[in-house]
Amino acid sequence: MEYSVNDLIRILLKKWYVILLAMCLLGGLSTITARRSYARAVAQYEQYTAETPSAVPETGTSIASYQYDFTVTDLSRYTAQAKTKDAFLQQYFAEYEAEDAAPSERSGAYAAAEQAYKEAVSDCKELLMNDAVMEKTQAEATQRQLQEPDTVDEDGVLQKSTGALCVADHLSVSQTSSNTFQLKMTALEDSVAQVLFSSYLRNLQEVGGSTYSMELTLTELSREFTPDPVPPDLSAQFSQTVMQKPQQAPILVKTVGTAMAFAFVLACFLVLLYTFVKDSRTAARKNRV
Amino acid sequence: MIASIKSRWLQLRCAVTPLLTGLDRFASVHETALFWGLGILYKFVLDALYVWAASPQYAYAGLVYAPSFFKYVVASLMYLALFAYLPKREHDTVTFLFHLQFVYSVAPMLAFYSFSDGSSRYMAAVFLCVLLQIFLIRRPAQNSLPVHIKGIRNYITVAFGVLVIFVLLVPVLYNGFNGLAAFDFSYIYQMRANATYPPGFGYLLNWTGKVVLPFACLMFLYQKKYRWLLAAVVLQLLLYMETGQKIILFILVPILVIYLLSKTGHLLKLMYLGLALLFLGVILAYRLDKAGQHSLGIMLNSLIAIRAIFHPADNKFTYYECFSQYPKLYFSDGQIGRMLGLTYPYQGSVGQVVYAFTGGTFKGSNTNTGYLGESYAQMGFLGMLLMSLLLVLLLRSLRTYDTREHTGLLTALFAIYIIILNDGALLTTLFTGGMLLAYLLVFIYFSKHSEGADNGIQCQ
Repeated sequence: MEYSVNDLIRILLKKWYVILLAMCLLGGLSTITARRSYARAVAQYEQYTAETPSAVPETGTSIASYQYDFTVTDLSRYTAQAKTKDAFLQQYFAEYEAEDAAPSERSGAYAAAEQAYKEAVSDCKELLMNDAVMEKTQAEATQRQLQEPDTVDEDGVLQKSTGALCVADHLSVSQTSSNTFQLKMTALEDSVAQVLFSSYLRNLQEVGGSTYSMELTLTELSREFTPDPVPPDLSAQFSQTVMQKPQQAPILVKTVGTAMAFAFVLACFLVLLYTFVKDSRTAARKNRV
Repeated sequence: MIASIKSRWLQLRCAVTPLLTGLDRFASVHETALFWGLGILYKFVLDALYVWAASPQYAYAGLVYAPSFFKYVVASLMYLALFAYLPKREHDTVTFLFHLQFVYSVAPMLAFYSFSDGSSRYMAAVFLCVLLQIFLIRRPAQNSLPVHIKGIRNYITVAFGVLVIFVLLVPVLYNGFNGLAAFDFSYIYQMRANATYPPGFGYLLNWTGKVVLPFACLMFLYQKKYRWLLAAVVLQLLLYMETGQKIILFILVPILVIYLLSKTGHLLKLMYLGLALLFLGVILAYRLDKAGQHSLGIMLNSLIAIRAIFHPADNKFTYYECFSQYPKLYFSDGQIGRMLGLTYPYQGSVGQVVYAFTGGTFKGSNTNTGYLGESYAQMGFLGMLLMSLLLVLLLRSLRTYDTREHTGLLTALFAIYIIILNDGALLTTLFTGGMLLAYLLVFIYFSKHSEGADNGIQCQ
């Protein structure tokens, strides 16, 4: 099939009404699409650039300081130690027959009592960081079905909780002076930290009573919560950088004019294409016949 | 002297001809086995190219090595399925073009997917689109005759001559002439950054460098006008030296190689073999370079393995990641958007947005991608499907022009657009890239009767 330029112009002129129809249709369509597209672009801009509050619970560092005192309800642990020591000394002196060098009963008893007190203080310090206390606290946390918190990675992507809470990963105990200590809980919500603090203190008293026969008196001195820095909403920041707020609604006349101009070219192309395909197939059919 | 050279050339031809005839007979007899053997060889060489050359050099910028056994198996099955389904006909332009798309765009995506943990959803969508394309090209062509435009061939030839002169003069007037410095591939970026052109000149430059001069080279080669061919090649080189656009320099290599290989009747097989050997050469050169601290292997690796093969594959996945999270374009960035008055949601071009998405400075650079990535940015999976269908329709329309006489010309001319489509959008390639102009050239120049007809310049 061969066409001269005159043929092409003739084809287009013959189908002038199709071209005009396409121009009108696309001109009309553009008014609808332009408005809708503008409204959607504005909505998308608002949606994507708004800093959404983080879905992650507000975690942080909770620190509580306590003063402690203790009363030993059953001294037998320490008197037994003193008796053992005394028995050893008596045996020692008996073997060397140096009874004159033996300390007086009174001074010996006083020294033993002082030693017992020192050991009680040491026991109390040890109690603060006793593994059994941590184990009991962990057991309570498991019983309460406490979970590790959701986190946000450095790219701002939410990472879901990895499973049951591991108390030892978050809680640390330190003695701050001779009769004060501090509980520090990191990367947990304050409410969860308070639950675990209470649990830890209760377990401290229980283990103190059962293991050292001690009654602990705990007085809270201070408590504070410092939230972790909120991870930036990286998606919104990126959108703010790359997206643009549509400045003005499309102007009707300009939109329709542009649409009609493009529609003219497109319609001419499609009319020619249609004619080429139709003529080409018809000619092929005739040839075959 | 010339007589002696001619006689030696004749002797050489006589010596080589029986060997080539034997090879030709062997390739014809064992065609299926050769196809499969070369297809599988190409797949493994491509994998090796990623693992041993592209990824080691470019892992810092995207070509990471994070293989997944499951994905490797899936990708291999996809590769074999597509390869099996692709028609394997020599002397068929459309078949060749889809094989070229397969080896140049799809297979690297499959390798990238399996070795750097790409998105399975996106890969599956690409697989389905390509499968649909193959299904459509396997369908028999409609019985129709080729369409030609007669009588304007000589006008058009003169117009193109004027266009070439204009396009060669303007860059020199605006930006001066950089001469051989343009062959320093690091300097050309500076050249391009400083270049200024009059408004609309980009279209003319694209059409001249990607359509008019390459088409002229092919026609002169076809007509055996070797002096004119040389002149066209020199003009193409001059255009490159003025603009620094690498595609203008390299475009002639595939065009001429494809045209010459099409004469053998084993173009498809030779393409698989040639690319496999080229990639093996790149791997070897890169590994040797790494040991010896030279730069040729690294340059080859940068140009071929990274820039041409795997970086475009990576970019397609990046486009998917970006536009599955942020608003799609719905063609608001191009002429369709202007026609329908659509509002473009971004401040910069789509390439600049994706460059910023990968961590670069916004508007600092452009991340280009092929039509399979760009169409996702436009309309998601539906856009991929639409563009895949449009490409098939466009290429199927070549069937009526695909005679034995013109197969080489058509194949070489349109192979360029398949290569460009690995880095560019379909509609952009069609209008700005000059693919539509190439169709017009086919309409005008591929008719024996169109010369000197009624309203053309009479050519007596």
